[in-house]
Amino acid sequence: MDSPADKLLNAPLDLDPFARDLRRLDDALTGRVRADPDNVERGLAQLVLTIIELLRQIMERQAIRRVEAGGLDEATVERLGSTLMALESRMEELKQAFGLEDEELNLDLGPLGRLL
Amino acid sequence: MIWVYGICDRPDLPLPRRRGLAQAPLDSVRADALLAVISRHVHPPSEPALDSLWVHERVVERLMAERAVLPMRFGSKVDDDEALTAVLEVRQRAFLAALDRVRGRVELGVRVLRSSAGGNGSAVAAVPAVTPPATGRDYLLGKLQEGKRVDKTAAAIHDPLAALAVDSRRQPQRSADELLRASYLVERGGIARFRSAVDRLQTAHPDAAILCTGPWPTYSFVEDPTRLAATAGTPTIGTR
Repeated sequence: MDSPADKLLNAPLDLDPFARDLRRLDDALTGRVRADPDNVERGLAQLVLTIIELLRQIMERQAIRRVEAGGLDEATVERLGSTLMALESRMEELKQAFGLEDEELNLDLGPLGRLL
Repeated sequence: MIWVYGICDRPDLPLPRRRGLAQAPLDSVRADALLAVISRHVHPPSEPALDSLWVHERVVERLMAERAVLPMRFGSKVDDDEALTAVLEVRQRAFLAALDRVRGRVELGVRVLRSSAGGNGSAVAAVPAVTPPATGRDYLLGKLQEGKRVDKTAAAIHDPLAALAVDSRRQPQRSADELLRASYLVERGGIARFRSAVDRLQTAHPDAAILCTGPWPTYSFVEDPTRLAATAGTPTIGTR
C-alpha cells in the first residue's frame, strides 16, 4: 500500500505535535465511545468540562473584546480579569485531576464541525 | 449502492485499471461531457479505516493524472444510476465550471503550530509557561496581546503563501497552539515554488513549526455536493 509519507512536502523534525489529530481521526472513524464502568466517571467529567470550557472561552473572548473596545472602568476590567484567571486555573486543576488533555475537551458536532 | 470517487471531464478516456473500495472494479456513469467514476457495492463498505481512505484517495489521484476531477469526499454515495445521472444532468453547468477552476491544479495543506523557541523544529504542546499575571487586568491584556501575536504570525505565513496560490481557504484553529490551518489551490507546476516559500517561511519563523502536505485532490475548493441538500429539489450525493 502506498505510504502517506509521500504526502509530506515540508515537515519539521518533530512531527509528534501534528500527530495529535490522528487519534481524533481514529476515534471519528471507528465512532468509539469508551463507556466501560471504569471510564464512566472520566467520560462524564470530559463531557461536563467540555461544556464549562465552552462557556469559559465565550466569556473570555467577550471580555477581551470589551477591553479592546475600551469603555470599561479599571475596577470592572480587574474584576473580569481575575474571575477569568481563577476560572482558567481551576479548569487546569480539573483537567489534571481527570487526566484530560485540551484536545479531549471538544465535541464533534458532525456537519456543524467541532464545538471549540 | 454506488460509491462515488469523483466527477471528471473527458468521458472518452478509458478508466484506469485500478480497483476501488473492497476490491470492487471501477465503473463509470456518463452524462454528456461529465463522467462520474464509481464502484458498485451491495453493502456500503463498513468499518471505514485508514486503508479505505487511502484506496479512495489513490483512485482520485489516479484520475487526476489525466483529467480534471471534482474529488468527492470519502463516503459520497448514491442509491442507483438514475439518482447519479440526475445529479450530473441537473448540476452539469456548475460541475463544468468547477472543473475549469480546478483543472491542472492541486491542493496543498499547511498547518502551523507554535514551536518552542530556538528553531530546533520541535513544537511544544502548550503555550510556553510564563509567570502568572499579577492582576486580572494583566491577565486580560496578556490574552489580548497573545491573540494579536497569533493573528500576526498567522498572517505573516498565510499571506505570502496565498499570493502564490490561485485561491486559499483558512480553517478555524483547533487548539491553542495552532497558529494556522489552511488549504491552497496551486497550479501543478507551482508546487516547487510553494515549497521553497514554505522553507523560507520556516527559517524566518523559528517560533513556528510548519507542516506542508500534498499534493491533494482539490477537496477544499469543490463545493460539497452534500451541502447542497438544502437547495429544494436538487438531487444530491450524500455522505451518510
